[in-house]
Amino acid sequence: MRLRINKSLSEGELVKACKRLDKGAQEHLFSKYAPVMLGICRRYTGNIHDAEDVMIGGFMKVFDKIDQYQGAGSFEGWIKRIMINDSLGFLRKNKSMYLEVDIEKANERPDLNKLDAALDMEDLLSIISELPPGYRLIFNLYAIEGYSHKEIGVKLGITESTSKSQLSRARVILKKKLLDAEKMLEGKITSHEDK
Amino acid sequence: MKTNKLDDLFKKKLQAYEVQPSDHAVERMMGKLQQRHRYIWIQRLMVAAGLLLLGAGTIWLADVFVKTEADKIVVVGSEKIMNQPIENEVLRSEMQSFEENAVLRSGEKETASSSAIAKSTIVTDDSDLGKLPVNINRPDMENEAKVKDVKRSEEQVEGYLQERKEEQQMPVLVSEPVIASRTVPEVESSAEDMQTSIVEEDEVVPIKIVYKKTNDSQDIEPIKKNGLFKKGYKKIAAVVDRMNIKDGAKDRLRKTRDDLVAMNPVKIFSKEEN
Repeated sequence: MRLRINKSLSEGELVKACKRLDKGAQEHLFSKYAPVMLGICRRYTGNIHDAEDVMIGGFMKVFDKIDQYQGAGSFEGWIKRIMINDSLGFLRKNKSMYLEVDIEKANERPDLNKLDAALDMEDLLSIISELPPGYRLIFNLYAIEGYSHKEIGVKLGITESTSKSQLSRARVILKKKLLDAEKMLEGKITSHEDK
Repeated sequence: MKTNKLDDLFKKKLQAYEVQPSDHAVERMMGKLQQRHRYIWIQRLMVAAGLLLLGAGTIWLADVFVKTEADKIVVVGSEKIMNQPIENEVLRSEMQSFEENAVLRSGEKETASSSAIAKSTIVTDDSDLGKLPVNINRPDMENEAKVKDVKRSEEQVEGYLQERKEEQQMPVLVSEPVIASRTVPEVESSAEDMQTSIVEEDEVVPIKIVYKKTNDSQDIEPIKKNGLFKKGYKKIAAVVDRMNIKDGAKDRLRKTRDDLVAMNPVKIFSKEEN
């Protein structure tokens, strides 16, 4: 099913129409913000199926609580917060979030500039998805969404130090995975040159 | 906040990450929206039905209370009122039967007392209320009285009576009693009034009754019906008690009177009206 996007409505008009329970406006709102919100849910949940479930639940919550949006701040930001909170709720219910994993620190450092050029969005997403849920959650909140450790602690009900240690461990895992990816790329390049 | 190159790499690439939802996800979303709208409509319909019931209940209750109030009517004056047409078939037939028995036998002379009695029966006034039997167990009559819309003028009535007198016929007992020309909106009469008002038997008292409506918005139809009953009953009661008629006819009239009370004419007339 393809969604028809009516671009004639501004964001304010769209919100007003949704507050009036206009079904067309609700479909329009969904079609406009679904790709971004699904991307967010995908980052947190680690797979697309769970992400879709969380996104649908999040949009239903958006339509239920749209009267609470008073126009302070961006509407997209308001929907994003709902999606992130729903993703956290999903992870709390379904995953053991704060597993301590023994990690050996890597002595080498990956060449991030080289990797930036070589890895695309999907590669990075798959690397993040391999992180344990707790690490992934804190890395997403801190590194991508820009929350502070204090905010993360309040949001997740953990201490700041727990948040910091989880982030540190997440970074170690990511470095190792990036080094692996770098080696793989180098191996591909070498075999290509040998040919 | 201290920036980290690793964090920046992921942030730069993933912050704008978008995924198009699958068709299945879109269908599920639309299905949920449809379900939600259906639920909202059911809620709205239930609210509307509730309001409708509330409104109907309010109207019904208001109707009940208005009718109760309408039963309370007050006589603030008096006016000469003539007999009114009797619409009820049972009552009419009984009255006709009464007339046949009451007509003087051929060869008999009309006496002064019979003439007076006859006069007193054709001219009805509020004093007749006092002549109703005291032992009537009809509490619903206390606040109920009805006067039919008057169809003939007083002059017409007087002329009519004069003609009848001249023809040396029973001047007062007509098959279709007439009524003075006037529209009477509402009347209140109580049992107390009925029992305290006394008038001489052969005295014709031209009196004036002014009727006052106690509530303009109320329907006076039920009161009129009861008034009709009262007038018919009054007529029979007066005749039975005063006229020198045959014993058999007298008993029959008394029976008719009692039957009338037992019939609950308020209900009968309401039924006929419907």
